[in-house]
Amino acid sequence: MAFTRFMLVVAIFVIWIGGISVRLVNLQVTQHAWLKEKAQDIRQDVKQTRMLRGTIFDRNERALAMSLRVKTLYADPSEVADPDAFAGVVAKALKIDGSQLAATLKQAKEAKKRYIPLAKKLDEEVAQKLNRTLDTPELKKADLPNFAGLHWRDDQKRSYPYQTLGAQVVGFSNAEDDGKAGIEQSQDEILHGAIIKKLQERDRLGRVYDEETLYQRETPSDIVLTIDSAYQYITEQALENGVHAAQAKSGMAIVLNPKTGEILALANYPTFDPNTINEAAAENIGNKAIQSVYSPGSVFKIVTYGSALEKHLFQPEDKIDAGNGSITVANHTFSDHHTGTMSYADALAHSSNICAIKTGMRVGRDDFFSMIQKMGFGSRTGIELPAETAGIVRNPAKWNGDSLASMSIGYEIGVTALQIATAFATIANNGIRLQPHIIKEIRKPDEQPNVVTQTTQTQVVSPATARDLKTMLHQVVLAGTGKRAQLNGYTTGGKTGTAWKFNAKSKTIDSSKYVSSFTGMAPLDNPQIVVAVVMDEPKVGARDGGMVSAPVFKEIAQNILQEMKVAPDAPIKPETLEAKKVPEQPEKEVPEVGGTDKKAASASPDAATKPKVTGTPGKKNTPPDPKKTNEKKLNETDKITARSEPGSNRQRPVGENKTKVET
Amino acid sequence: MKKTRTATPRRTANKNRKTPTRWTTWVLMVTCGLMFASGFFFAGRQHFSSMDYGMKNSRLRRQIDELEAEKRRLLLAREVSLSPAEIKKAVRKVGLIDPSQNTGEMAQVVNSTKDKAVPADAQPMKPMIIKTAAVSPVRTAAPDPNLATAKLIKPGKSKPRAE
Repeated sequence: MAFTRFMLVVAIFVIWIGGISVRLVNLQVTQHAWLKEKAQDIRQDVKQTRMLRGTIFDRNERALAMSLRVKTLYADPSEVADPDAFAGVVAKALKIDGSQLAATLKQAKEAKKRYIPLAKKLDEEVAQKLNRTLDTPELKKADLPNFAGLHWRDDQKRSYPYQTLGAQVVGFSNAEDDGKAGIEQSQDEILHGAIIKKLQERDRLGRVYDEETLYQRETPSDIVLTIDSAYQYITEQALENGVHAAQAKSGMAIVLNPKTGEILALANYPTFDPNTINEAAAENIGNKAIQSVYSPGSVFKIVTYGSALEKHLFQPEDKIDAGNGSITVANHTFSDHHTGTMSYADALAHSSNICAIKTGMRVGRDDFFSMIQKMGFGSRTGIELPAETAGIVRNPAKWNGDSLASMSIGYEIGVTALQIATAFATIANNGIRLQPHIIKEIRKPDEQPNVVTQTTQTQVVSPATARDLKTMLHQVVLAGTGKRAQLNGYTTGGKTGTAWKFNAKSKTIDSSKYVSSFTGMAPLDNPQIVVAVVMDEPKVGARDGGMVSAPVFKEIAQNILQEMKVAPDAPIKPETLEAKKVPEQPEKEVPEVGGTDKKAASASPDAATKPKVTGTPGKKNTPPDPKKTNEKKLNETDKITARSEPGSNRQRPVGENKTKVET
Repeated sequence: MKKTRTATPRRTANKNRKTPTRWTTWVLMVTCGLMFASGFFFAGRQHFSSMDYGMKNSRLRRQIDELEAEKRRLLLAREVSLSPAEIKKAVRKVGLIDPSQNTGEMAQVVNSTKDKAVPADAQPMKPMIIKTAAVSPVRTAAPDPNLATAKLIKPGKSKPRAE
């Protein structure tokens, strides 16, 4: 009996355990695959995040472009039971059209879409506010917002805190985090934030308890530019003032350190704000300083005289005869208003075209072309900005009979502002040409920064040639066409340039439009900066480089050298040290003297004649009197008032002969 | 002959011999059982505490991300406040004169308009801030009778240059 009961209990146990075992085998062997998949599906979540785009700094660690984490609100139509009710609530919170949202959701649900963006790139504050507004207390959801069908996605937003400052240099990136201009474009690969995939394990309440990175690319790098935001601001302000004063179409300015090739400032006006790129005019986005080609005019004479000095053809104090002010080369006559014998230094100072042509002819075609190439014209400088143009330099085999003469005075050649600045920097750096660059450092997080070192240096001209050229350029500023570029406390050298514009549509020279420029360096003995200023289509006054561009150079160079705390190497005029009290009562207004000195205004020394415009031998070809075209306009609208020189109480009338200006 | 069973002293002796073994076995079994069970508890505790640490870790990582994001926001706000545009706004708000408007010795286009003339009944201007040498007002000189004077003409359609 006892044995029977015992066996009965054993049998019950065996059946019970057997049943459990069968069930276990069924779950863990037979249904293993789909149960595992379901468990993983519930527990695991793959999260994709894009790394923040690299930051662009100026040389003083000021952030010119940086990205912030923001959120994008999106709807998953598959989780929305009633699109109309959903749209009603959400549209009210987001202040959007509810009916359109409902239609979009229905369409997406039919198409089985899982992602409908509702509000893009919202910052944290707005996101928190929406979370509170859309909170559904009775719903238990793992992530925010606590509203069925709505989710947040991590996103990023690019900001440019300095707005228009250096806009063409920095560029901008679009909503997809792709660089579209400037450094943003050229360095897009190292700035670009790659996507990280992370596998997260969550509990039933959605809390993450384990995380594993599945895929991660190299972290984006930060870029430190050579640009100084203070110098950039000074340059942009001076350029803007100059463009407005000259009523020019546009302007560009470059400030270069000749010893290192670093670009300290690169400005274009008009400019744009990358934060509101949709409102920017397309023509303002391009970087004209490296993308726009123009005829340099008399500025190019440094190549002419430089190549002659290098061949020991003359010394600056040697004499050259400009004759009667005209010269005929290959049946084309060049002329200007300078006649008689003068020193080479004076010939450059007063920008005598005849002397430059004679010098160029002495140098010869091959040597002149060789110097053009060595100076960097006709090829890209290699700066780390996109879409740089090489300029236009024709092979000597394609030159005409008068091409050498034209090129000697800066025609039949196309250059960029950066190429001209680099050429002057070569002279300033004792004849050594350095590659200009705009990136100082490329910095990865937690790594040593990669400092950009100077790689290419070329001895273009000898130090003696460079010294002689600097002396001649100094004469330009002291007694020549560049007097308005004189600095207070610093010796300066430079060259003005005024050239007619080439009309690409009609393929002819447009003699009513000018490109006026001034490029210079300071202090002369040990130049710390080279500044190039180019004005496109100035409309005011004589419109030559000395009138419109030299004052801009002065403002830029004076302020930057003081900012750099460069020791003055010339006497400082005491008047500028005196604090001037603004009177309590304004001074009595005196009628302005509007000078219309046609003789002085028409004698624009840099406005070289284009050989192909007139072909009559012996006939003087003079540029049209810009005053005649603009006089009427000026009289109808505003007067030009020249500011007085420091220390002088005399107002200088417009159009007064430059030789009377105090130095 | 009928075999008779002997007395039970041998069975009793056997019985007495088995009693201490049974207690030992029971004690051993209980001890093993307890160790086994405590192992389960220990493993369970490890598992849940690792989950707990994982969640705390995740929360801290999220906190780090949020703090990083906040740091970037503050950095951006600082840079914006240091930008020339914001400084100019602050200057105008405070009522100071923007010195960058008066720099340079370039020729400037100036409107000859009536509104620049001081009206007869204007109150005397309050003393202004004494400016440094870098900012010098335009000085006008007495007209030279030898030079032709232009007539004061009212401005046309063009607006004055914004400063």
